[in-house]
Amino acid sequence: MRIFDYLKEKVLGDGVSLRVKITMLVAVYLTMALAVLTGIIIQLQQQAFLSKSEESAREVINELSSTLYHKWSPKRTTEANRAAIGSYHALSDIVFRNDSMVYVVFQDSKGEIQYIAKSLNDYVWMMNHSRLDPYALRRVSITGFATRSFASYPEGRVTEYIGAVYGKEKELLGFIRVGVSEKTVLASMGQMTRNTVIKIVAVNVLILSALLLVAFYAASALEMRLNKIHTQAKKMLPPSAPAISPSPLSGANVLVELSRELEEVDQFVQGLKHKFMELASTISHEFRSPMQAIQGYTDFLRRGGAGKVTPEMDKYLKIIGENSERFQGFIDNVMDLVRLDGGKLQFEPVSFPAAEPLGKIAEFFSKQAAESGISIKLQLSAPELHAFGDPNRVYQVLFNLVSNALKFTPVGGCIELMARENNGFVEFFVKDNGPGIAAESQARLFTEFYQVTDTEPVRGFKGLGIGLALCKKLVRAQNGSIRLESESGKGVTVSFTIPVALR
Amino acid sequence: MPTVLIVDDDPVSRQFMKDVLSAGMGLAVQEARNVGEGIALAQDSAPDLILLDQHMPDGTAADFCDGLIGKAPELAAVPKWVVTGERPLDWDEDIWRKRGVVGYMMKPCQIDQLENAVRKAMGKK
Repeated sequence: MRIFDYLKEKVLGDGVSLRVKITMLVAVYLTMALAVLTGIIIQLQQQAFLSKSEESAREVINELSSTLYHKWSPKRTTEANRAAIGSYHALSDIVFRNDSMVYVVFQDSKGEIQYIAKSLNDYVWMMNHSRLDPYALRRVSITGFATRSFASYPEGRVTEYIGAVYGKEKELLGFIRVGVSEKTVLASMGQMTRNTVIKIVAVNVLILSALLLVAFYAASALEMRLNKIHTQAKKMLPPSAPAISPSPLSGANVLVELSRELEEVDQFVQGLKHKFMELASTISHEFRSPMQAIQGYTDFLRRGGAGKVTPEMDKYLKIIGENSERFQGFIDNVMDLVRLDGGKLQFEPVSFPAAEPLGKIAEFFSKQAAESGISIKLQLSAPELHAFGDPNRVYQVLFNLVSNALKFTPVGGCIELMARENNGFVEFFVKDNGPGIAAESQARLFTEFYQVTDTEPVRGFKGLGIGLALCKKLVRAQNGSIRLESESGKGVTVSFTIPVALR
Repeated sequence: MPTVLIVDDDPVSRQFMKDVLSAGMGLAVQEARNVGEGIALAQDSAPDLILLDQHMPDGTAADFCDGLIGKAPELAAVPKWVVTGERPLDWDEDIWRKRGVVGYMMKPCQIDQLENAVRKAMGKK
């Protein structure tokens, strides 16, 4: 047990690098696989060898029975028959094909041994086993060929192959029995097997080394990647998080270790996400009270709630009011973006007339637009057109788009609001005739927190990015798409689609 | 003089609503900082209108309505407005109407909204 523990420590202990461990593991598996393969090859060879010895026994039986068929007749005397065949020894050269064959006997139909080719020792033994047992005979009569084994042969086991011999008139002449010494077979086979095993082992060692080399390189690459993940995971966790495994990875169960680490990272990230949502919600909540004071009292003052207001004072109060509203809008957009990303923004899709949000928007902005000398035109080609989506969210998108358009449309300009059916979608348009947006800036407009740099030939529209990013997400969440078209100097048209309501 | 009860834990919101309603519209205003105070005050003064913050330290606008109905069923019909920072997504007209709630307005609330709310509530009465 101590040796086992020692080996375990040496192979799987903390001090051993991952690549060595993996290679070791591969080595063990490969060796096992190759050993099994070698065993199978030897087994197959043995079978081939045995069937070869059976084959030569069959050949002997066939040749001998053909001779007997022509030369042996039960009508003649034994002496006459023997004379017809010729000497035993002349035949034995034909008969003995290899060392493993120890005797060949012909026994006539009465059981009398008529012909023997054998070594002297075998003669005595063979005489003791001359009788065919009924079982072997029965098998001979069915198949014409049978085997039986004797365990008591002086030099080991003998397998006897028996064949029946028939004469010209289909009469049974007798049986030919060929004895094959297993010991001799196995001895010659053993020699062959040893050579084969040496060859196989040599090839195996070569294959094994090549495979281990590959395995080692693969393991090294794997170790590097796993350690990269491990380091990355550690980096993602704050320093205060519970200490995770020592770097680099080395434990016996690296994958378990790694998955535990990633789980920790996941928990940490989920926690952060949750905290972020909470923080965003708190900020938005905390903003409401001061915004209430600023917006509310600015309006209160402008209405003369605290005495007469001069036109000069009103001008500045208006600026405060408008900008606090803008700020509020920004906070609301950020909050909705955070909610959208956190999957917390709910949509309540219903079928609603496309004209509804457009009408509301036109009404909402009419006063503000008039004050800035801008006209808002509402064009409804199909009043019965219904969209399927959340009307509040569609309103929100339109609100953002019209706010942007108002900011950039010069005095005397015009904002057009439209809706029409387009290929299964309701397409909403917000079109202004302001200065437009340069092509190179357009693609980035929908990016969150995008700010136009000073070098860009565009009017300073900070905060535009977040509104458009929100619009894009709101539209996409309702299976629609949004698109902006503009040419410098020719105004901007933003259009977005919402699926048509099926009725 | 009609009385308005403001139930809100945010002093700035309370002050603003009070200023608009009393200085601007000449209504009597009573203030409560939470659900418990609000229910007690409502029972004492039997207001003509109640402005309810959605979330308070000891409960929600719904808790206030249910608590008030439990203690003083005769006040169930007093018109109420819910003032909320976030659009209530699960706003079910029927459930709120049973509690005597006329509607909701978004925070920060505007003078027009407040005046309209009061007029609507008073007109119904």
